[in-house]
Amino acid sequence: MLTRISGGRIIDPTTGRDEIGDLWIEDARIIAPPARAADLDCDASGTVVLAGAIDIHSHIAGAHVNTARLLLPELHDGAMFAGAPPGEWIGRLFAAMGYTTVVEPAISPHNALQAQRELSAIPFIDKAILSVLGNDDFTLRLIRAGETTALADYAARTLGASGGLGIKAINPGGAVAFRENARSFSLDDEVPRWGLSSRAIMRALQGAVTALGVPHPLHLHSNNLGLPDNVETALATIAAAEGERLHLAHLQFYSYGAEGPRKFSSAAARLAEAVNAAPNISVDVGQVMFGQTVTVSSDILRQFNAIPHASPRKFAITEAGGNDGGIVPYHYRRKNFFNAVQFAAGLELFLLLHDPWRVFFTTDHPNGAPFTAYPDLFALLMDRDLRARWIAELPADAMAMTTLPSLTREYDWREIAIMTRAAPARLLGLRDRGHLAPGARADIAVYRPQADRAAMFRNAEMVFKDGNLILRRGEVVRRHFGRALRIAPGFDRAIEPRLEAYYDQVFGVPLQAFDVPEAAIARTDQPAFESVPCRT
Amino acid sequence: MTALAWIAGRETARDAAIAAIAERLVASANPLIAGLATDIAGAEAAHDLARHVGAVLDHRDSPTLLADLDAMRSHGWLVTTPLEARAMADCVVLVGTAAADFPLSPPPFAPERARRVFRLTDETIPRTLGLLRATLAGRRITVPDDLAAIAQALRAARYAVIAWSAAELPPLAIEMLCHIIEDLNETTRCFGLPTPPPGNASGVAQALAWKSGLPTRIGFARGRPEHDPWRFDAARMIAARETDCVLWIGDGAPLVPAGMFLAALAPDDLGPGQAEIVIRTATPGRDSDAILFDPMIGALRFQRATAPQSALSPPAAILDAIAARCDRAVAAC
Repeated sequence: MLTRISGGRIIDPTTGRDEIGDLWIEDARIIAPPARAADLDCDASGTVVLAGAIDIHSHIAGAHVNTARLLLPELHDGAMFAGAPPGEWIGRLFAAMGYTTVVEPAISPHNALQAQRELSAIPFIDKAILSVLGNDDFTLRLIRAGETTALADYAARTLGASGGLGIKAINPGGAVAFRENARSFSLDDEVPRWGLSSRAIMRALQGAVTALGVPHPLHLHSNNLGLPDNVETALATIAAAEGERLHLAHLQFYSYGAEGPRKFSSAAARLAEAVNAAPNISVDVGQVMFGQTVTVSSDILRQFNAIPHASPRKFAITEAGGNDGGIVPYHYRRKNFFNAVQFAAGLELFLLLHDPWRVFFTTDHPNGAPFTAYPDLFALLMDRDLRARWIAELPADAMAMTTLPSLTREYDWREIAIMTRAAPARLLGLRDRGHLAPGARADIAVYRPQADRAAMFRNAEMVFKDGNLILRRGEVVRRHFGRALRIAPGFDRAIEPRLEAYYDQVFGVPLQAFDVPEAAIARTDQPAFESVPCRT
Repeated sequence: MTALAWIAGRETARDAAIAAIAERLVASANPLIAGLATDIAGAEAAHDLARHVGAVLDHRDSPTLLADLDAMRSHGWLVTTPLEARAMADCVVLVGTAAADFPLSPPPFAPERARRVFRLTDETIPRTLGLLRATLAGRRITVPDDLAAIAQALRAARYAVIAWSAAELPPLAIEMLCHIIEDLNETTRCFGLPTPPPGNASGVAQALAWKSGLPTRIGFARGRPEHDPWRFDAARMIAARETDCVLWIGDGAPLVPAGMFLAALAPDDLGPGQAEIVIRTATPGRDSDAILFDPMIGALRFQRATAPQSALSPPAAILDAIAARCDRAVAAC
């Protein structure tokens, strides 16, 4: 079928296009304007036409997200709980906002099967997982032994078996320290029993990712999340990368100083300066928005320490040797000094980081806020008057600990399109997504500008996935299922017998018990996986 | 060819049985889909069918499942997995008789540490656990020597594991164990290891949670999922005649009062006369590929059919076919 989206303002930073024009689609791809009449003409006059948005960091599946659902039935009662909605609503609400690809960033190798199965039940969007390494015993063994090549083979084997798109490390070494009874853990602390620092684990995994040609750089959840003065950790982590590519997740949670009467301040301006000066670093923000949510993290040390702040007062912690999870519900409040500083620090990062190709739009769903808060966040970035109205509602002593009130920058459409489309596609190595050139996958979001920008982003005028019109103003036009994106770098199979022997000896189970074969998530109508090529 | 479907004890075409079940589900005022000892695909399909016809969903082993879940969701817990317990624990306390035995070999992650294993069996477990907690908290009370030894071992352990089975413990005991574990984590490490119930209950609860947000005992009569452990208890609903139509999935079909419709999607151990309509299904994992919760790894696992039987459809396929027939039945009225 030949479809034309006509008369909209097409903004495509990858090709530099920004003009009123037509977009043509045939067989799930964008094509050059043909000399034929369209079978379906979608009038887009007065709208803005962008590629489908790509979210690089939202916790939408896996055993820990599911535990969050099970922990909080009272929040599901009546209204659906945005902190951990059922898969059906994840797909629908993301797609309504114009999102067509979402990455679940923290799936440990032992939980991959469940995560992929959950993702396969999410309609409308494409999905991917990042595979977590860095607290598992086998990784530490290889690093301690200096087995660089074997580490890369192991990472590749894990990606292949889990169907991962990249490698994530979460407070590397911190979970091992936790189970050895540590109460805190930082970049150069030694992992008990191992003689390795977090820095060493991070560097080794960066090396493995580079050696394998995985497009996405190591995705790092750093040490000391959420603590006063942790900006020092963030700055030291940036320096520790030594110029090699590194993605720092939810940087807002590391942008705190210890100034002021309450020994808690925003150090976002200082951190932004360091990121601006380090072209090897990309970051996503992890913005805090106010309201009830639930924190879901494999940083078990941090989650354990968060238990006293739980709201409602309950928690679920699973210690599982690098496959850990901690679920702690939390309510961010406007009138809370600390929460207000966190909110401001996130916006400061958005506004002070100059290069939209290296800063990504996230709330670390659901840790900073449910993804359903995105529309309000887009509106805040694009409108300084709206920001001023929000700031006026916040505690003055908190605002005094930030630079936010002085910032006047407003994001324009092009910057939004880079940050949420072009840049994530590039960061993840998705060559046919995030842009609108002929050959691109026809994942397209059409927005109708209006005074209420949040309303505009909440329900896009039209959303196309694989060339099909799937939603119009939030209403489902056509049910559709996407695929799971994965990368499968080649590796020396000699690692497998080693791993098999290890699993047999340590766990008493076969290594293959954790694998995700295509048959486990296959749909009858299309392939379950789509493979993304490695860097060459 | 072996028979695959029966209506009123007489062999029939499977499609006819599927159509008849769909008709009864659509006509029912308050249908119940229960049993649910099935695989992940079966649970997902049962959810979709229940949502479609406004039915109640309940798993055969919900009481055990909910006993553990209630401990978590009413207060919170710190737990581990069977793999991590095996690799890391230097002290294991098995509470009750049902928690599986533990090897005495040193933990592979800390081979220089010896592993001590205790089993606590008692007629009055909640009281015993109360004494244990008080002892651990440093209260000056007199306790039996074996209990004092367990308290001493838990305190001295670097990584203790306390294992239990909710099938044999009262809720108070599980709650007490969770508190003991939490207290111990103020100074050392200790984690719980609940024994998963049979019938893939843990796996089904996971699937229902990602489909609906809720674990089991879910009602869809109001068009959205609601969770009520009392109201949506299948056994209670049947006894109280709150339903007129029961679709049972998996083995263990119940006896229902006269006049109540019962259909069973059952593996081969169910006789054709035990329900008004019986459809024989594959046993997931044996006759067909399946995803099941594997208690050995504490996670979902894909299992290739050990003895593939292409003549038998997995429960999910039958449920999907029933749902498709319900569509037609709904469209007709």
